[in-house]
Amino acid sequence: MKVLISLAQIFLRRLPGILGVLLGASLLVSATLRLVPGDPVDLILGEEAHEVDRQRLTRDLGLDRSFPVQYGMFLKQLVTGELRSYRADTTVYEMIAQALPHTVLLALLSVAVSLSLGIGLGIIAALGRRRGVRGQMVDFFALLFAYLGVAVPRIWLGPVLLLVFAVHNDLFPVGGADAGWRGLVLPVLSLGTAMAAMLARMTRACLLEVLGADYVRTARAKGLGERVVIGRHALRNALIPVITIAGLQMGGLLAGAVVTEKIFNWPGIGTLLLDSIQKMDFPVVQAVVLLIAGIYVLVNLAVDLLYGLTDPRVRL
Amino acid sequence: MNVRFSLLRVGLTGTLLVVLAAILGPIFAPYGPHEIDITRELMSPEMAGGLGTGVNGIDVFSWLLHGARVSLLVGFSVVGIGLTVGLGVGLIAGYFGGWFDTVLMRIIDVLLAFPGILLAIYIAAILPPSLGNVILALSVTGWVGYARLVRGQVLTVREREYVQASRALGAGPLWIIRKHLVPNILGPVLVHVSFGLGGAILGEAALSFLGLGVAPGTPSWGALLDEGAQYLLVAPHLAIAPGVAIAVAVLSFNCLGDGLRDYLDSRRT
Repeated sequence: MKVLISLAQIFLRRLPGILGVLLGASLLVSATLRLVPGDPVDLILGEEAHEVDRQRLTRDLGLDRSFPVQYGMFLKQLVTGELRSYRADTTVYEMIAQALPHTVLLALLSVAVSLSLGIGLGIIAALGRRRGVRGQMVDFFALLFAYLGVAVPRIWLGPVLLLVFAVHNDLFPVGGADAGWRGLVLPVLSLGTAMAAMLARMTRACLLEVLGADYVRTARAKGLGERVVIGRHALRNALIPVITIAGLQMGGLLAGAVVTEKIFNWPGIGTLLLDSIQKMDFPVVQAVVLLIAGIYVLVNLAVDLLYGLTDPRVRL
Repeated sequence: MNVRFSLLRVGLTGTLLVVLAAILGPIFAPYGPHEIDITRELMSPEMAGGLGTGVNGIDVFSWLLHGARVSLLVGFSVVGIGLTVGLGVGLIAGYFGGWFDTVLMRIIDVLLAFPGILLAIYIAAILPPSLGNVILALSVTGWVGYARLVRGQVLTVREREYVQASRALGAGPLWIIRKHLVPNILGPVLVHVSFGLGGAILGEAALSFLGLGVAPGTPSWGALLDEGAQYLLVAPHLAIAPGVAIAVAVLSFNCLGDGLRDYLDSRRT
């Protein structure tokens, strides 16, 4: 209970800063949208449209107003939930509510896979390094995966996975969200590999550092078994920075999801964003970019709080 | 340089090869990037020789060599802009502090609210496709990392005794920045530069894949990868070659960064 209260206090203390950042982000997104060449009215009505219709739509969408007025309207509609798409006859919230669960599912599964794969591989590599030639080989291949996983472009890995596992071997569907869990396997692998590689490298480095620390030597010297030394003393300390990096990477995963969703035709917010950009559906673009930024900022805050809880040396 | 620095050696060799390919590649490329032969469209390496052919019969190997120049140009430009802006801004903010530092940190907070290349995707989407706009889109957030790194380093270095001694002897801010701060913070910045190069090349590839990259017809690795993904079923070789080229380049830059960090750490200890 005491912990919860202190977490709530920290959250409330950070809240004005977070709101300020999001307000700044919304201003940046709204202001830069003015740079878009072309007119959304042209795109909706076609260039052959009658001038009267054009003027009416421009007025209805509020595009004839000054920027501060348009920005104020956007904020008001965003808060009241009345923000509407230019193109679809629905609110932006409904569009996001349809797409977001797909992206959240994809992102969470990717995080779960990359955490288990990355941390597991990092531990095996670090422990293997100390155990003979075979262990060193394991360490070498784990490191190779760690370097390749970061260097291989996601836009290459995705199509290659599709080619091997969906086209040549009919193990998984080519794309879309209709195939149940089977449709998730390749997008999750494609999205999670880079993060797994980074975590493997980080876990390996942190564990190797901790294994050389005095308190680990003391634990061994007082006769504790290897499992207890590694499980209770070394890993617990080594994983603190790893979890922090994992949390920070989760935001990057949301941006990566934009690319992955396009490759696998996944109907998440990345696909919604790209479609809306193409159709110049400004309210949807603004809302989705802000949503991703908001989630990212909140995840970062959660990581900070978690860090404070796991490491008593950190003052928040 | 002993066996401990094999990463640095691998990174340096790879980087040198990629840079040489970019400089000399177009001279040795058998065909020009726009030389087409529609009778040889989408032929596999076994049929056409070399790395095969692409859309309109362009030679994939030649395209890769020409593309090296474009992709590296993106990488070096983004890093160059980021480094120049980030170094300048970080030095001023870190050394002088005050309102400039406060405003800068708030701007950085806002830019950091956009994860990964989200802002680059957004900027590239609202500008017409061109090489310059890809560089601009990737640079909008590219400088933030440098500014934060430099500012943090300056905050530490400016309190060192030799800097205070210099100040006590009447040295001006510009002299201190040039003689004491810049040389002492350059190590970590160089490491960041190596990773930045790889990141920019991956960023260009991602933007091209989303149709937000360089103008159509510009020979970049990302553009070829985009074509490769479109013709994956009929011509898988088209995606393999640029993917490997990008991976090799990024791997080399990352190894160089890690190797440099190890080397600098070992010198420090």
